[in-house]
Amino acid sequence: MNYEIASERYKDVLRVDVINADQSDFLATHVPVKNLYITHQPDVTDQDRKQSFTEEQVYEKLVKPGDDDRFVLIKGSSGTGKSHLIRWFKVMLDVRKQDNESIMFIRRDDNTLKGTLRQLLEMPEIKNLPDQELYKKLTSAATSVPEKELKNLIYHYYLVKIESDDGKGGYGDERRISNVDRNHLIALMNNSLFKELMLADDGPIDRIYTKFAENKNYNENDVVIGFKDEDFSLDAYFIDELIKEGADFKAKKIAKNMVDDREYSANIAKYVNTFNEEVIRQCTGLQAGDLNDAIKYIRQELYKQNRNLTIFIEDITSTSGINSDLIDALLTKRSGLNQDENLCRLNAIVGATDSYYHEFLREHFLERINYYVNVPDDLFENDPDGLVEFFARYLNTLSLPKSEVDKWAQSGATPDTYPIHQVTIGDGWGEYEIGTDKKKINLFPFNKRAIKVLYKNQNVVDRKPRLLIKNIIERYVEDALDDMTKFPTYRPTIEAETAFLNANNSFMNYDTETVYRLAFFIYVWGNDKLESYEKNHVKYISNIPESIFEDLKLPIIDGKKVETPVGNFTDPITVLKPKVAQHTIPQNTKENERIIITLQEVDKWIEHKDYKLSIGATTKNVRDLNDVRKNINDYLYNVIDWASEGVPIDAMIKIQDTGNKFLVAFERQTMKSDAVVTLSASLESRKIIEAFLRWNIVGNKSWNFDGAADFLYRVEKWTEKVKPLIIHDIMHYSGKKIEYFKYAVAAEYFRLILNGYCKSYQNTKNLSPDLLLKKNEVLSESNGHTKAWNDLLKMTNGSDGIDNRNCVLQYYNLQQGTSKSSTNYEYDYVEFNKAVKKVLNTGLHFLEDDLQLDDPVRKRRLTSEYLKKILDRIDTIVSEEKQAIFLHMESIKAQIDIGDIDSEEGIKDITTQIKKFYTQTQTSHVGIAVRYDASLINQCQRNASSIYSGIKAAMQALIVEDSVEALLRLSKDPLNWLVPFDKLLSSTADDIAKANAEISRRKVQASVESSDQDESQYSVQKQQIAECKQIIEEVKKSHVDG
Amino acid sequence: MFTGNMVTEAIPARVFALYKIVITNKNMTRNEVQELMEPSAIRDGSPYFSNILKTAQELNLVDIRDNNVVSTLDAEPLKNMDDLRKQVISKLPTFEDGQFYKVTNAIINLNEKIFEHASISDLDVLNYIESKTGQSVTAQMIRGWRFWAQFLGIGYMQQMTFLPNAYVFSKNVLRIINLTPNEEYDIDVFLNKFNQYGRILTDNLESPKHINLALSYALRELHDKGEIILNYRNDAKSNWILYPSNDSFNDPLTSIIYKGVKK
Repeated sequence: MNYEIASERYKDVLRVDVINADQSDFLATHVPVKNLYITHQPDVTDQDRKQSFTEEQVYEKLVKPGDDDRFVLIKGSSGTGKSHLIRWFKVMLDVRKQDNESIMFIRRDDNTLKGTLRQLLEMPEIKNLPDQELYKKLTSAATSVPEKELKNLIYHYYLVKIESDDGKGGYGDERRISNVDRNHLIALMNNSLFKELMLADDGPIDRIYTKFAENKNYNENDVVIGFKDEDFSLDAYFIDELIKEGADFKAKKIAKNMVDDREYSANIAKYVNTFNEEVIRQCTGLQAGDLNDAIKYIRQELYKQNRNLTIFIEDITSTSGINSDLIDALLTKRSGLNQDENLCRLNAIVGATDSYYHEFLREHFLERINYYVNVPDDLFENDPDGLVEFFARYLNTLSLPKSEVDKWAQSGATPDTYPIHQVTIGDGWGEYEIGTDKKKINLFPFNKRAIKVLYKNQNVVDRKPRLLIKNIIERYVEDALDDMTKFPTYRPTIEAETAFLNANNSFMNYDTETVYRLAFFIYVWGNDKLESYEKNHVKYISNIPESIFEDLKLPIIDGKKVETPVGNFTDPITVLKPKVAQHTIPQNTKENERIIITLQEVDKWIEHKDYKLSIGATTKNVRDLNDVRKNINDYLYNVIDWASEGVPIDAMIKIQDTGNKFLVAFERQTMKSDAVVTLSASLESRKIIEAFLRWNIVGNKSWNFDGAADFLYRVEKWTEKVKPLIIHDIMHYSGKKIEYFKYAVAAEYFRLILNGYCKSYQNTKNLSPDLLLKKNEVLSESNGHTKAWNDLLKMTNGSDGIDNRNCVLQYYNLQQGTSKSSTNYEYDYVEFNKAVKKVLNTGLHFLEDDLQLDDPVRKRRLTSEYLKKILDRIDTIVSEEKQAIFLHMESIKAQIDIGDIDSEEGIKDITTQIKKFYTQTQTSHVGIAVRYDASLINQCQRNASSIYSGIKAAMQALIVEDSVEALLRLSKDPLNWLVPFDKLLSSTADDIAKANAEISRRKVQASVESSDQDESQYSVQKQQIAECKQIIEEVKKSHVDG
Repeated sequence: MFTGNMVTEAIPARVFALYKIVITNKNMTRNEVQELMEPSAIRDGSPYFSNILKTAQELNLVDIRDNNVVSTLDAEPLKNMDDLRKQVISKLPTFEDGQFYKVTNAIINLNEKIFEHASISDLDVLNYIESKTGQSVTAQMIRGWRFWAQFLGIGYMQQMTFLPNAYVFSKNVLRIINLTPNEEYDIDVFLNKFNQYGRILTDNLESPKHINLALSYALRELHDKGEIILNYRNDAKSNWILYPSNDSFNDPLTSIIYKGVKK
């Protein structure tokens, strides 16, 4: 490599798709393509494979102008080198064409429709269009529109198209979705959350915009414009958001269908994609037929000049939106209906990806296309020398001055004059001999083995020229130019290299970075063996000269001393098979393919710091990853011995039952997740992921598969590493220890107090922990409490209270399993007792800030919220209860002197006197005798003791200021006894007054009657009345007046 | 559990809970201790207490004297479950005729074959155990075994599948045998010392000098974490073979340097 020149030039040479590739560089890097297949049908049959063609042969057969109109589709998957081939055809035609051949070349360029239109507008053939209106339209279509506005417009047009459709889509007679689904889809598309999702960065509309208007990332982007299946595949999290937002039921319904039903999502995507072309055309302002007209005018103009036309289109996807029109124009033949149109001969050489062909061209143009040139995915599969030449030419060109390359191209670009760069860095790394005169190209920063190992390590689908340039050449060239003492920083996962690393413990004394660098370098550039020998006074370690290790500042470990090898080394490409994979993992099985596809996703995630790991959608590899996450979580819940680790099963279950709370999530995963441990994008995580993939897919949810022992070892080692983190996180949040047991205990004590189970206690600190372990059933007896008290009582005896009590009982229950309400209690009594006493020491007082109402785990937070509900009502209850007591006490005091009552006997005396009074009224036929309430009197007499205690409790409660302590006193329910006693005293006082009045009346009447009747006749009665009067006076004197 | 038949009720946490009650409350009768663990007012089902107490007695943690349950541990009281684990491991050699010891040894020596069974209580596994131990072992007994096997750090339980790995167990054995930090022990010397308490893992190996999966995992994990260094010297008199691995240390084992176990 020539360091100075390469530093300046490598981007221009390597980024061939985004920088308009220079023709000289193009020729200098071009390696002849050999394995092409010409067919008359889209698919390559076994018969076709029997004869492959070189690019030169294809040129002669199909590109070289003849008499007939020809449409040749160059087909292959993305990055296989189709556009490279088309460019080469174009260069060859430029050199070899006849004078009357015009060439139009539509480059991939920025690969947007607007970019393509701008290219067209620059062509003299278009500039000179006779129809100026059409030219203006094309100009307007190429004009930029602000991104946000255009994205909204794209979304809007799709919606309009669906609204005005009948379910058959943009073309054909087949019904593609039912009207019900269409209406639901419209409702969903009108939903703001869904629109936000569709318009998000990297979302489908952004992708369409990128393809249509502005290639923001400047990537190759030869994808087809439109929606992907996964765009309509939603996750449960999104559904929750929709529900929370109160979305239209139709929107919710279709959204739910889009979870875990890949076929359904695919059908919706297919339907919406039928509008792609119309939507894009509407956004450009063009009309169907505009481009067809433009091509027709050009052909007519050339016909007049007796010229012919060849059009090269590097990538037809860059015309997405107008491609139907364009292809239709290119397929238009001079013969038949058009023979009077005076069109010139037209050859069209058009590049298209396989997927574009299958998704678009086949449906529209299958029968009109006659020639296909198929470019295989793996151009170098059977051509290792071609592979190294490919690398060598790029490495050489980027180290050559541009002027030297131009000079070579201008002088005919012949192989024998091919220039070779001056090496300023990397001498001795390895060389490639090119041409018949075997000129040597320095391969730094690779050697032959490295090229082959790195190539083989690519997934088969990634072994295409464009990706080899991007993923291998560019990365290592940048790496080498940046800092050789860190080279190689890019170290993709190579399974065998990992095994090599693990098997060589002598590395372990160095830091991790050095160990990985060294292992990777020895495996990829060296010979995969930690051994050394001397040859011509140069020491080689793993077949690499010692000086290279020194240049890279890598430690020099001799390893095993071996004999100096004789002759050429074995070509590593033939022996290179990952040892571990070969040994342990059966190849070519369906399961293995599935695992490899998923691991490719994981590798991308590890390699690209901005790549998100897709979780929650429904494509198979994503589903497998989602399963991995779920299975890791299940595994951890299983293998951690919670009880032995001091984690209450109740605390663990509360996390396990939390929907979006996972023990493990992936770094940069697409779905939001509140996880304890984040699996970082690293080699270690890859192993863990692979272990669970194999456990699920190969072992069918068991470790019974080849190689399981090594995978399980990784998993178990990792388990010990993350276990402390998990245990800590389950018992903490935001740096605080969880305390929901404390709140549950407090709330349960309040329930017991309200139910009257604690009335024998004088204060809360004396409450016994054992009280919680009694039956404590809800009492159905009536009480004398206020409504506020009874309302709270009802709440605490309801389902919330039952759940709370269950939590109190289960937290320190040492279960065998994970039952939520086992009644086979086996208590960790010492810990239970300690924890409950701590709660009691608080006096059941909690400040709102101490309640952990911000706990993110809902099931724990419910306990905090439940206690808060209780605490919020305590003051009111106590105040209402005290007020009621006060009123009754005042009333009682108005009738009797409470100070004189020092035992229940005092109460009994009063009730006895009252009873006597009413008995006398009966004897004396006083009217109030009918109000004699024997039941009330007996009740008070019977409960004299409770009334006495009630009065005392009431008096104490009234003077206690602390609301919780007052609540405890009030739980004795003094009102229950004060109320009937107060009632008895009050009614008796009323009755006495009435009796007095009646007696007075009788006296008056008696004095009037005495003059008329014989006094002796009533002498006995008079005497009785006198006695009654005396009794009444005595009662009055001692109890009412006194 | 350790001297007689294995039971499900006496799980480690319960045994330790009983022990804590006894050292916290002196002079409690058996019924009083039981009432604290199994409050009669709220508990349903048959009591488990007898089996828990019996296991605690087997482990020399408590005994009944003068009608009271008392602690019988001579050393410092156990503070936590880690202390209990160490205490049980130190007692294990005395149970070598017991069911737990024999069953553990038989299961451990199944190596990877244990993965062929979805559950350790599968009939095939029970038959195998019977053939190896000469004792009839029921599914119920094996369900009891799993709690202690997991607790002692012999392996993990993924539902009813046993995943061998004696890292935690071996770490505790190393603590008990008190090796000298940074000293290199020939493998035979090391295993002799280890076997004072760890013979449950090394008895009845399938092939002579071939270390089983559980102990191989343990040694590799200790090595990977820097607590010991596994060594191979080609001139050593004796070597032992670890359970094969493509990923980890896989040389014949000739000596071990003890670096010191971490917390």
